Amino acid sequence: MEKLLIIKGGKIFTMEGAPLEGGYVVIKNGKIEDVTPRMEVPKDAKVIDAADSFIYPGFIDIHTHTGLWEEGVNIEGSDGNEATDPVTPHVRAIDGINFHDDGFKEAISSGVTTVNIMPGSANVIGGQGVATKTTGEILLNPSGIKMALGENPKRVYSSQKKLPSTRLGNAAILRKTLIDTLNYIEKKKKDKKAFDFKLEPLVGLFEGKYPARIHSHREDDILTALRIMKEFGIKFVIEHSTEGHFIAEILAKEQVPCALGPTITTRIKQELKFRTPETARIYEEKGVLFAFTTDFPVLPHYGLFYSAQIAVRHGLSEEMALKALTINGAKILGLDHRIGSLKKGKDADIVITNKEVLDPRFLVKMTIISGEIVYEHKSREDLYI
Amino acid sequence: MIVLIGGKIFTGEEFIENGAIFIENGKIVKVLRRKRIPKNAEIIDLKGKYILPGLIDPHTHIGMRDEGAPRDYSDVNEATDPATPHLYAIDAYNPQDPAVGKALKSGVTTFFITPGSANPIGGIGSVIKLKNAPISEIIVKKEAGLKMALGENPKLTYREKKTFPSTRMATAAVIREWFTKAKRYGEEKRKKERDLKLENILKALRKEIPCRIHCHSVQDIETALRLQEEFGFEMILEHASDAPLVAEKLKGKVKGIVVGPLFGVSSKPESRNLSFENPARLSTYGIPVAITSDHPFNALYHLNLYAAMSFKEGLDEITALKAITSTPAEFLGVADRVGYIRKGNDADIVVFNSHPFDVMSRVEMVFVDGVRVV
Repeated sequence: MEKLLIIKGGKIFTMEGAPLEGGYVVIKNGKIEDVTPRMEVPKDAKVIDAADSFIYPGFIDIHTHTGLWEEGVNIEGSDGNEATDPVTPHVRAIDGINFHDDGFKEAISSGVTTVNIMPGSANVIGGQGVATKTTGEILLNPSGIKMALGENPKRVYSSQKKLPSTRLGNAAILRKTLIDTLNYIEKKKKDKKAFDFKLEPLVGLFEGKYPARIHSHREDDILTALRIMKEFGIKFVIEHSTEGHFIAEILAKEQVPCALGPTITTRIKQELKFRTPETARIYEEKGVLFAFTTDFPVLPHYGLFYSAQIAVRHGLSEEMALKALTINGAKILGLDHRIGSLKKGKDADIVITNKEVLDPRFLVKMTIISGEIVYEHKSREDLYI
Repeated sequence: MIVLIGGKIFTGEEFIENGAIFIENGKIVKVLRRKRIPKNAEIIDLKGKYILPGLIDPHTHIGMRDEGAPRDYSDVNEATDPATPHLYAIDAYNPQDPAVGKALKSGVTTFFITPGSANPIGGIGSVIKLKNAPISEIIVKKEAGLKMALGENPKLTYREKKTFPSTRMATAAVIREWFTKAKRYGEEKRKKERDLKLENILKALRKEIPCRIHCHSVQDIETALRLQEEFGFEMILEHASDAPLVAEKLKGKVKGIVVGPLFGVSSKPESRNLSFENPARLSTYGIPVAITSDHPFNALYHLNLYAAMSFKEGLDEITALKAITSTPAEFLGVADRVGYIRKGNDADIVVFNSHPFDVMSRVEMVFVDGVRVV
């Protein structure tokens, strides 16, 4: 039997109710065996003394391109956008991810233990995403079909003088491809030999196997996504949702989850004009399910915490800020049975810090993924990977 | 009959000292561990020499891009279509390439020629013997592998043309799409019409030939593993600069790795971990390693020195010698003909005046099919 690894707290943010002041997180075989206020520590257990530390479930970033745009490498390491065809559901992010990229190392030393890596937003239908631990352990593949509305696809293809060069074109391509998929599903019922490599991954959307994950910033783009997805009965997540605060009531009523961010960039394009640090607070007030994201490499992975800290400064509750870094992302990915909180039976993804993560002075002391200590802070130099 | 006696014979597996090799009708008919001088034979005394199987380079473009010819003279890459499994490298082999003669003088007697790495699916490579004879007579194996490519080369080739594939994701999709088609084509009971492209992929799917996958970086090696798991082909990785980082995963999955060209500096991000240490590091995991020049990227005629450098960086002597003789013969599926000094194999033999890893060593004799050509 494997020995127990026990973290002796410290303030334990279980994300399952109020934090535990002092207590134990017990790890066995990569899973959380128990979270308990008191226990008899077995003699042969390995104990991590975190008495004056803070203990969190591993942090989750539900929208990144880690390893897909390799750090410090130009086009040779850039594999996120297959910008040669606006419809590429048949490409998979996993085929382009360099799991040895510095981005992963920095994610781990920043306390980010799970990322959802997706193709970029050049294409209306960009391809298949993958949810993975930052150690490379795959959680869900595909985790969804990346789609994009708004400026990006129209900018890419108008420069190539191709459809789509307007928002109208974006929506038309999306609708047409989904209708093609429905036709294909019908055809398959009649003809067993029917096979379409490109449309095949979209069948899963209609079967509810995974959601569409739709890049949209502007209010009207978000509503276009909502309109089309309702028309076809497809589950979806809004990625970025920059103007979501204008329509937060609708998002809440329609139960549309949002990946919010990157919220701490400048307004580098027109559709970011109404980007505000208030969005998270408004989502909380209206009851929108959301999680923060860095959109790495737009922000480095540790930008996740600054996003949350700034939202708190603008009125988001600390409790919701922590949820939007942990359990909410797990729920949006459909992985809350495995990650996102410290609970018996879940994966032992745990981060120990010297201060609370909503304090910008905090430092990650240790990162544990699936029960393995994968990072330990020893000196300042550790930060420079 | 010719009998080579004395010296140190590397059989492709081990050294024999003071033995004898009997050659008749182009074949090795007997290998003895002691000297025995028969009558009625031409005796060649090789005392103090090193005798090896003719060297084999498992990955070249020799004869496809002649030395000294301008770039547009090259026939290496049919970069107009990302899936060209119906191409054969042999159709571009020019035996008048000046490199051919130089290679022979350096002791290389057999090599694999293959299409380049511009296309995710590049075409069929062949095993050729260096010999002054018409091409029809020097082909050892016409179909010895299906060349494929991942990583920077295909994506940058097609990105420039603004067509699919311009990313690693799409490169994998091209392969997946064509292999899926071929699989379905193979399952059809009555084929409506022949499809040469799919036929050749089917040979890989049925493990008649291995996939020879050009890759360097970690994600491309992992993509190759994923594709193999999906489609169940045999594979040999070409170059594979990052392979030592994921060697544990490769164990038992790859037939082997063709390492090289190692002489020089990495010219691109994906090959940044290219090193003469790679053969030794892979070998510690029990992964078979062959060494290549990738001619004309490194010169084919210094093949023994690339093995010597790998030896210097930790690869053991026997494994390093095998890496340019018997191991590539195994990879190419021609070990019954070449790569070994043993009964029944072709009498392709090279004689060095000192250890082939000695930079001062010289090739004194080369036999191809029992005929002394150098």
